[in-house]
Amino acid sequence: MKISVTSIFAFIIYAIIIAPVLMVVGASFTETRFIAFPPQGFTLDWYWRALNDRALMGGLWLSVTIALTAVGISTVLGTMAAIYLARPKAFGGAVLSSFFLAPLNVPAVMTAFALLLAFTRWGLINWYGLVAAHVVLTLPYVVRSVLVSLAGLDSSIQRAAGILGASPLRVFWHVTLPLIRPGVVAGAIFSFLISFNNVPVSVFISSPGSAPLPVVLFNRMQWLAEPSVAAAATIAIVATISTMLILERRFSFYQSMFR
Amino acid sequence: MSDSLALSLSGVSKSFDKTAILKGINLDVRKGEFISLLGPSGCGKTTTLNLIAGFSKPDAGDILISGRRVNDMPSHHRHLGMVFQGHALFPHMNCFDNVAFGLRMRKAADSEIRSRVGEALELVRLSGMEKRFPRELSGGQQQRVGLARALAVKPEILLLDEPLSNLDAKLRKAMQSELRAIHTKIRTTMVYVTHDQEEALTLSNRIAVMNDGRLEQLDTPEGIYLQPRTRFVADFIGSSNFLRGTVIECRPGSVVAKLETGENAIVRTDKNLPAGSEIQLGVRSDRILVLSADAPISQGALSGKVLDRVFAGSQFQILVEVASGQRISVHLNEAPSANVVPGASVRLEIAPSNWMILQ
Ligand SMILES: Nc1ncnc2c1ncn2[C@@H]1O[C@H](COP(=O)(O)OP(=O)(O)O)[C@@H](O)[C@H]1O
Ligand SMILES: [Mg+2]
Repeated sequence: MKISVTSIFAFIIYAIIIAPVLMVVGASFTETRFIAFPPQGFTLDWYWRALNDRALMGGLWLSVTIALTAVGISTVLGTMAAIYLARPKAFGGAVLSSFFLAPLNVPAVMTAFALLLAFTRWGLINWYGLVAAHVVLTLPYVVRSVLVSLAGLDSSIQRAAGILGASPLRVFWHVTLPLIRPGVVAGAIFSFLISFNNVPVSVFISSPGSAPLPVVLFNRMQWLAEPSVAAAATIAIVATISTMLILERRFSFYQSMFR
Repeated sequence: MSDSLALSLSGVSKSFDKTAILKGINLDVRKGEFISLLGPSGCGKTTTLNLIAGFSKPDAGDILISGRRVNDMPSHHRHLGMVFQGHALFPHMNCFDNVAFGLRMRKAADSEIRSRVGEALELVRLSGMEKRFPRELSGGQQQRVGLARALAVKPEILLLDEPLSNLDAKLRKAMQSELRAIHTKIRTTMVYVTHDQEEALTLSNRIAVMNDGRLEQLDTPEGIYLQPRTRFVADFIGSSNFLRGTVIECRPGSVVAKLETGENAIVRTDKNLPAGSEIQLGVRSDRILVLSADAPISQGALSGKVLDRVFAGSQFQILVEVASGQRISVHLNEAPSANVVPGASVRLEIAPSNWMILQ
């Protein structure tokens, strides 16, 4: 096999990305009481610990419910927004576009700070506040990826459906939605990842007793670098990767996102 | 009278961004008629069709379908069919589902859907292709599915927007005759948009020639070709030459005009043109005879010098410079005599009935 410079380069990049993940996974098997890499010995005790750790599992559960709810909301809202923005004569299209895409350009900490100020006043430092914050955070990804799908759509296809007797709602349901589905799915999946892994916004909005998993891990690492943290992280990583693989098989969404 | 009209546009105008694109279109289409909107690209043909289809609304004027004003009726209530330039088939549905779409939207019974889809696909000679997806079909087949899809609902009017322009020349010819055959068979009113004069001439019962948002002339193909009303129509359809002239004598059924070349021409016309009026004259390239300079002099001939002689397959094309410096192109079906070569002096004879008085 011939090894080109590009493939060596690609390999190095992959290694840099994967290495920290492998270190976390490796560290979760250590027999020492503190996180160590390479692991000393091999044990599954830390997984047992993690699974019985109410704060960690509570965080995981919270993360999952927040992510699923936020993704559901932002997928629906984002798709509707994108369809509106894609119209040639969208009222205030340019302004709305930058409004919806703003969170992509503003540092997450700034968004988080703004949300903290607002949500403290509105008494939203709770589950609902977290969901709302994550909707704000994930909406741009849905809008963007649906807009990409819509841009590739021949508008005469929708007109054809209309003149064949389909009301605008049925045109959307029978024609537009099936054709932009790859974009919607891709947007939803990216949103899930963004929400599930978010620290900066969640740190501000969550209250000490009930924080999403990444925040719990973040706090634990600061005070108590126990290998159970690595175990919980590994569980989250494995769950994420397998979900991605299944979805990729089913929808080829990476392809549709970057075609 | 009005119930024999499938479509009627009166004073239809449309602007985009304050630019007037359609400037008062009046057009009546009879039931069962095949009418073409012919004009150069950008003249507003698609805009007109989109207004008829209900994809946009006119700024002024009325659109009547079967006598009913439809200005404010949404597209999906107009009961029309449309074939698009790109096939615009639903890529996620197979042929059957594509053709069945309109019937399903009308909540037709399954048995009726099956028989109507079968009929429509048979009409376009695609029986057996029900399970194929659009991407598995050739360009011509895709366009035929598009036609079947539009016809399956038995629309009041079928709108076609340059449906053949993406096909290669040979396939286009074949599809033209197929379309003619289909129209003859089902007699659905068709409004066909094209910028191809030959297509319009061969397919249509009548042609509406459009120019810059206006309708220049509405007539049968023969009428458009033989009696163009304006210089634009004469120029756009077929090959024509133009000369200005002044009427010097008015006879019953004809006038004598002094051309800008200094020569006189006899022009047949029923119009009563007083002496001294300025007229724009035109003559088709294939309605001119080329005689050698020493032939017996007849009234109404132009003398000139041959600039070029080209054999173009089905005809000979000769370019002649006349006294005023204009170049007259002549198309001959038979080879001109051997002495008609570049540099030679010739006389161009134009029969009085072949002169066209244009606006
Ligand atoms: N939606 C639109 N917005 C702005 N200008 C348009 C729009 N649709 C068409 N036009 C303009 O109107 C003119 C006529 O267009 P069209 O009807 O498509 O011409 P044709 O079909 O005869 O080629 C063109 O100059 C085009 O640029
Ligand atoms: Mg057009």
